[in-house]
Amino acid sequence: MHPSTENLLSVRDGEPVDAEVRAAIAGDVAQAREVERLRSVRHALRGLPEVAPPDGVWERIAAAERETRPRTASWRKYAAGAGIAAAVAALAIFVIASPSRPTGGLVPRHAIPADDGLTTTTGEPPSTVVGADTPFDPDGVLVYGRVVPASYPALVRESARLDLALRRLPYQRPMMSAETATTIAGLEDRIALIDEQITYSNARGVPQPQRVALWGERVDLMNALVHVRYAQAQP
Amino acid sequence: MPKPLPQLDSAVLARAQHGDRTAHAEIYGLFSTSVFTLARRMLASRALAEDVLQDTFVEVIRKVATYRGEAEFGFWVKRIAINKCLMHLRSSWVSRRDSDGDELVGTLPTRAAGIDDQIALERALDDLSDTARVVVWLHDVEGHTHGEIGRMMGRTASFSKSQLARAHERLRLLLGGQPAQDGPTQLCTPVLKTC
Repeated sequence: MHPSTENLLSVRDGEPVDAEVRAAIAGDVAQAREVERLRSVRHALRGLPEVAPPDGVWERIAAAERETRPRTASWRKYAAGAGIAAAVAALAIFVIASPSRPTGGLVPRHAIPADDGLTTTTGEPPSTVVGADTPFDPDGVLVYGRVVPASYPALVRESARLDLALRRLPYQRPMMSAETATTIAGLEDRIALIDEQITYSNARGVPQPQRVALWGERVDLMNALVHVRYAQAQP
Repeated sequence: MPKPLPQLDSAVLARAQHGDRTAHAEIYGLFSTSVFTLARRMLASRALAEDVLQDTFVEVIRKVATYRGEAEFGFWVKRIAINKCLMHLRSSWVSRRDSDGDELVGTLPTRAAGIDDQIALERALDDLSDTARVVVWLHDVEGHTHGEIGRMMGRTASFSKSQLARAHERLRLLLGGQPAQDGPTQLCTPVLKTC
């Protein structure tokens, strides 16, 4: 037999391997040498030098952190900074909490079309996808007003569209208030949790309505994240 | 074994949990290099790594009061950083991965050289697909098990194992190496004409 790379790595890492596989490797000089080579690659990876962080990052973190603390300085100065952060947070909350998301990317759950084999609670006709694939209009402005049906494939597509929108936002140096960073971190954490649940639901064959709900939640959160990042990217 | 993490003095931790800014700065000084290195290796981008560095320590400061010592402090910090890295990569996985969760990117050949050549190894690592690079780094360098990696990535241990195998197959190609005939750790490298 010819051991696979997975087999060789298992031997390298001391994991349980079929006796037949172990014997095949032990009896073949070339395979034993390959295990040794894999071991040396791991050693070399661990030996790669550390990368020093750039100067000034801590100063930015500390400055951002100070912004969120109570202060006695001019209320105007405080209000300006807090106002921006509050606007960003409010936008995120609005997008998440909005029941119908008239300017978001998702229609209410009751618009789930029957032809997806899902429960339709209202009998309303399914909405349709409006616009092209790009999340930006011809002038490069992020499109908010997309309406899509809450069907499983449409939600997956919408989720991918928002992922694309997020990637296309101009890169910003990490200069943001701690409040904005906290909002973003919270959204990212929740998206990560939803992604884990989606993966689990796919693997366990969870009924599609529940999977639709998860994807709907992901679209909501992604929508909020894109909006916050978009607001952050404005000059 | 993976590199040991720096140890945080318990007095510094206590001060940090009470909002002492000097203690926060000490924590940053102690762990920023580890976090930045981890992010740079996982993301293959210095700019994104800088984002992760900031995001990580904003969260560390925000949550340090809730740290109860369930895990070593450095591990706790790194776990936050890993989650931030995965978040950065997750969006691209959604659109680029195929049904196996694997994607083929970075197909340009890397300059062939031996594994002793750290520059070549760094470039080869950067040229791996996002998934493969993350798995090989978390497993081979950070010392996470396949089960842990699978959970972190929302996948299975088997997924992590197969990705690690693909990563090493790809690294072998990128480094231009074939198992040599004259020694256990030598690589046959076409550019160096050692074949």
